[in-house]
Amino acid sequence: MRKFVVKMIIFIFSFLFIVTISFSAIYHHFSKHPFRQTYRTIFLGDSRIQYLFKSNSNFAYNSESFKFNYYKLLSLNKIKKTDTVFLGCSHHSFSHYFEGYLNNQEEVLPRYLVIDPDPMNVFRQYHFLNLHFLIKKQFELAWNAVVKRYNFVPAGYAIPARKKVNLNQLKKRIQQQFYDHQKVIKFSVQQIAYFDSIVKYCNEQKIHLTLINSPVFPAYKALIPSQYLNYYSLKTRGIPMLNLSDSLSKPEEFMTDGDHISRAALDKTTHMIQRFRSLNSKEFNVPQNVSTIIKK
Amino acid sequence: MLFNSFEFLIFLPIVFLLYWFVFNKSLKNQNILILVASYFFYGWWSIPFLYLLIGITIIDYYLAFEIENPVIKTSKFWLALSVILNLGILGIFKYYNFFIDQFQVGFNQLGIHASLPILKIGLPIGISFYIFHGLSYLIDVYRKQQTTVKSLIDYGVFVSFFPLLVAGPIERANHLLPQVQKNRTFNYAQAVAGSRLILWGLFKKVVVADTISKVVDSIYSNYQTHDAYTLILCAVLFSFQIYGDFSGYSDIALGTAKLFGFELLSNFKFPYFSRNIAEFWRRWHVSLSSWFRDYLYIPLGGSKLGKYISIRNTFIIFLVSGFWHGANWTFIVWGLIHALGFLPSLLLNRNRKFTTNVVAQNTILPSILELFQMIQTFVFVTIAWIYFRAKDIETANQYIKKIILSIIEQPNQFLGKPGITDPNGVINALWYVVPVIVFDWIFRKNERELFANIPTQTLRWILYFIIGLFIAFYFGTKSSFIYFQF
Repeated sequence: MRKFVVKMIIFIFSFLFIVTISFSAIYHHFSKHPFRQTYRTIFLGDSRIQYLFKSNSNFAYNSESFKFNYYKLLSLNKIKKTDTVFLGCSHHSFSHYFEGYLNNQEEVLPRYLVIDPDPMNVFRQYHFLNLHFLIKKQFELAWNAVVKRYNFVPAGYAIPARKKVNLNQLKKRIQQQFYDHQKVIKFSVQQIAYFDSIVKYCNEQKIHLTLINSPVFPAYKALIPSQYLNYYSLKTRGIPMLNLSDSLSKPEEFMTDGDHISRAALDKTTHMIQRFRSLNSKEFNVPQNVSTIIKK
Repeated sequence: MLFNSFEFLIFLPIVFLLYWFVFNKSLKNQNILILVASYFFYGWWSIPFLYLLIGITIIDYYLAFEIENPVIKTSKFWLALSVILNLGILGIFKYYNFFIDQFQVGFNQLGIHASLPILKIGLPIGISFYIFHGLSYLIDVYRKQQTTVKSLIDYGVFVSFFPLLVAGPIERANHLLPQVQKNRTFNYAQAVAGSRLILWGLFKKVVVADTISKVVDSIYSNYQTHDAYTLILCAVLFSFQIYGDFSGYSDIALGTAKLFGFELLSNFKFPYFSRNIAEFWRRWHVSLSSWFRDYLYIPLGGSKLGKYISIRNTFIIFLVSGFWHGANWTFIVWGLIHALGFLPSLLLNRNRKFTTNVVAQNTILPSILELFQMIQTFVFVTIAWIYFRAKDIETANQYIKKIILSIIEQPNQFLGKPGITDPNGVINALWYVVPVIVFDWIFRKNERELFANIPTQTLRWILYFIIGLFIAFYFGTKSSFIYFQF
């Protein structure tokens, strides 16, 4: 029996050793080069931006908070000096609902282990029985990076689905983003802090920062609480902005929730952004009413 | 607790070490440990249903003493009572709502609008398996093929031994009970064989079956929108999904039992290498087929009372076997299809062909004839699986109709499909089938000694590492086993 137990221990430990060594090697390599980056102008944000603009320079990813926008920017800038950042920033961006994506969210945290300055904190947030998920995700990312040539940290625009607005879904979305048991949800301290960090970093590094307020269905906009509308104006004052929030209005131009564009609008929004960029490429002076100009 | 869960990866080594290092001084202690571990294993899923398991165990234990009564009339009475009781419990939990639905439909057709009460509780996991364990013991006691067990602990271990508790194999009293009552010593070769079975079983379940299931589920959920080519491949994939799922479970169960010094009945003997339906049923879910053969087919007269009775009995066991799988007409039709497939072999007296050898017994590859026979059997079994998998008969009929009509109406489109893009992932999923076929073919001569014929230890360890890596990568989805629902 001793022989069997010893052999099992040898097998398990050598297996874990090989897995750990490969994991460390992959982790070490990709923490230096998490992105395949050749762009001086980059787009950052969450799924709203990911679906908004058809370009390889679109590094936005779903459920991505300002914290990871910030660390992504740091990594991307390290690999290739960034000139211009377009950052997705809408009314919901300051909502406390984003904190869910910062604390123990299985689907979100493992993506950013490589660029998180405190990876051990990420590990600590996992229950022992769920740690395998985190590790498995790293291998999945490594596999995609090596075999499929994706970025190690997930990034890149996605083609939106062909759907249209559903008012019930839209109201649910509003509830999720702006309300907590019928009361207006509080602002997110972390989101605000990392937003300020991005602004500060761009100033220090002389990076042109432009915010993008992505299109929302008129009924969605009408339901945003006034506290959030006011805070948004206050917080973004003085920062160049491409305000597309009123640029689309047809139900088929949005997905069911009313805050993501549908495939029907993708070419239109891509064209709007390209036009905006060509107008501003030389001097980067933002016109007073951008949305009026680019609609032409 | 699922075999493919982290909880089980912690539970198994703890019980193993306690069993061989702490409780190894006496058989009684080892059996107590197994019983407690088994109840813990079952209770992890549901405490209330654990009480049901314990209750049935105690009742059957005492009923057996009454059945052992030398007065035949009394013995028969107690046997009848115990069979009614066991099947009654099974019937209430598993079939009550089905029969109520059927009555409701019948009454509605007669214009009677009665609202019959339905049962709003779940199905206890493994109930069909542990009820059948108990019944085999009681019937064997009645037939004087088994003496009653004096220790309730031993009987409890026989009914509830955790590796086989929720999805079999369905053990026989005269096979497992002597092992429970006999001193067990650690056997290195047995433990190694057990570990290999666990590894391969996990691979089949976690890597193959669970990956394929994603593709199969998505295609079945909107089969109307898919072409014939995709539907055919999806049916083939389901054949391998259910095989990987159930035979994977059985391998883990057999392997785990080996670690504790038990040899369970084989449940799968590479069924997709069968050369006719009769051989398929000697290789697929063997413990269930042999249970029905011994406790239903033979008592009904088997094949000894002429062709007509033999055919009748064949249909009965296939229909009952289908119904055993679940309270749905789809399972009954699935059983009926197999009965019809079995009929030609029975009529031509070929049902006992291929009983002693495996395909390509002395060669590396099968002959053209064997290959043709295997493909023919596989195609038949795959068509029957469509009824097994579909949510109702109408869906299965439409599924098959869609395949046939697409081929007839657009033969060129059908033939031209392979090789183009794979939007549903069926071609990708087929790659997962390849290692199963290759390894099963290599091991086909002995389902209990996997990897034993790999020539060198280095090669074996490399294989273990590769398989282990795949399992680690795919582990953690916590998907249940298909046969848990039965």
